[in-house]
Amino acid sequence: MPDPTPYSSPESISQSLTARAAALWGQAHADELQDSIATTSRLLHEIAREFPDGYVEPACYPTAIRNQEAP
Amino acid sequence: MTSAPYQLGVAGAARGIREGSLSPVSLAQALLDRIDVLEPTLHAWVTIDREQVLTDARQREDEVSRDQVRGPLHGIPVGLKDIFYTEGMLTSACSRILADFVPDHDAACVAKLKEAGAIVLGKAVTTEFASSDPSPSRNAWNLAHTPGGSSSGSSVAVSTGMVAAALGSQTGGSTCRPAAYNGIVGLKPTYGRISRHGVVALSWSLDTVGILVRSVEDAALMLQAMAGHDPRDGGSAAAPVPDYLAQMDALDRPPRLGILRGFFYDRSSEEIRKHTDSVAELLVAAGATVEEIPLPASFASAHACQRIVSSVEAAAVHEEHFRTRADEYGPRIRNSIEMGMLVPAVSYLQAQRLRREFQQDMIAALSSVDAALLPSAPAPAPRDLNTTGDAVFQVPWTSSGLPSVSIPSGLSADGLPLGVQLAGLPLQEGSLLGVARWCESALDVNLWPPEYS
Repeated sequence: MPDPTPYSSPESISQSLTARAAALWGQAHADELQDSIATTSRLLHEIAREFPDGYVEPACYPTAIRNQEAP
Repeated sequence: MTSAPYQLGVAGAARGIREGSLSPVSLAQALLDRIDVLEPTLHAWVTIDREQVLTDARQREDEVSRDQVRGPLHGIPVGLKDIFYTEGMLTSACSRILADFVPDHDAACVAKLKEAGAIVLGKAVTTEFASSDPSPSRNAWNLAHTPGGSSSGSSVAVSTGMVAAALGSQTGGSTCRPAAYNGIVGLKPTYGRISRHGVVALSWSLDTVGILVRSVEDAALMLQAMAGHDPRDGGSAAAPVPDYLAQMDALDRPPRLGILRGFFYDRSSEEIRKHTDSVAELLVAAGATVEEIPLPASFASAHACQRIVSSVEAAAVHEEHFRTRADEYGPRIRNSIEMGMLVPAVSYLQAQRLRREFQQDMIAALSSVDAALLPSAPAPAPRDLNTTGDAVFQVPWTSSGLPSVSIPSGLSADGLPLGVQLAGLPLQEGSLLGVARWCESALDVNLWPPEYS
């Protein structure tokens, strides 16, 4: 049965990224990338846990950071 | 005692040229001579066209003699990180991918420097594509230590007087960190303040043109020449450009500083913590107010967001070349591109949303002070040529887009430069530089590598 919360842990994210890496570049290279994938998975988990209910203020929509106005 | 030409900063040399006491040709020749002596050891430069430099210097000299001063940088040689397009001159980004790339136009900021009278002295070494594979440049304070990156050649050249000002860039920590590691001033302006048209991209929502100089006043002069809106750069800020020197002068009282401990002290060595506290005490003794300000909750994901955004955008920038030439990339940028290719689009967009939230929170956090005060790096330049050091203290400012400046503040027990970083509100560089100049004056630290002064 699939994990109902696929981004619930860095490990589950890592499995997803590893599968994608294998599809793109083959299993051997995916294996070589395991340390980097683990780091990236941890970073993605840090981001995902900021969205427990998926809500962010509309003012934070990512027209992002460009054309900043002085406060 | 009269300073040698290489010891003059931008402001001093420009004044001398305008007043006729310094010849642009003599200045350019002095710097070329100094490069001849130092370059074999320090590896700061990729390309120098000596004939063109001297031709330009002779032209500037002739113009001065006819009272035709182009602008505030008339006759001033500047170095350019090898990611800035230069018409007719190799712009390789120190990569194999662009090994033969000769642009047919100047980057917008390079054109502006020339309009202000500056002379392109040469192209300075960068880490490959301004990423994290170490460059061959060496730290003049100790050759066994990294000079930092990615603006490594620019920083080394300024620290040793091979040039008074150089352009860098910052996507993570690539201007203010090498500035601190080499004992000079580094300015990362607000995101969008200086056009990146004609600058080799790494990550377009983070990339910021940086300035490496020996004084805060010189940083203001360089910023004044380059700041402004450019419709060719989608991230360019539309706000008008103020008179930065006038804004600096407007600070007529000791500043209110908000010291950031928390995360920054947790990540610092004991030496850095004590040094930063001693800097704060010196500033208080000189009249500043220093109070601790808390970091917002959104700070927790700031570094993760920067890393993810940087990787994904690098993957997008390099997608075409990478498809057929992946083996020609250095291992660290290759790794970053590959990780960027794996990140789901939703995660990238969430990271951008969090950056916006973080930016707003940091603006609120800094609203009660003139500037934030924090260490420039967790430790002095590492004794390891296989790293460019740790960008962790620059990333929050790059990710939020807020301006920051690193100024030299002393030496470590090992004789390596230390710096403190000041950060301010978006597009308020004049105020920030005013605070930085006040601190620079109060600390009175002017560093030259012992073997190169």
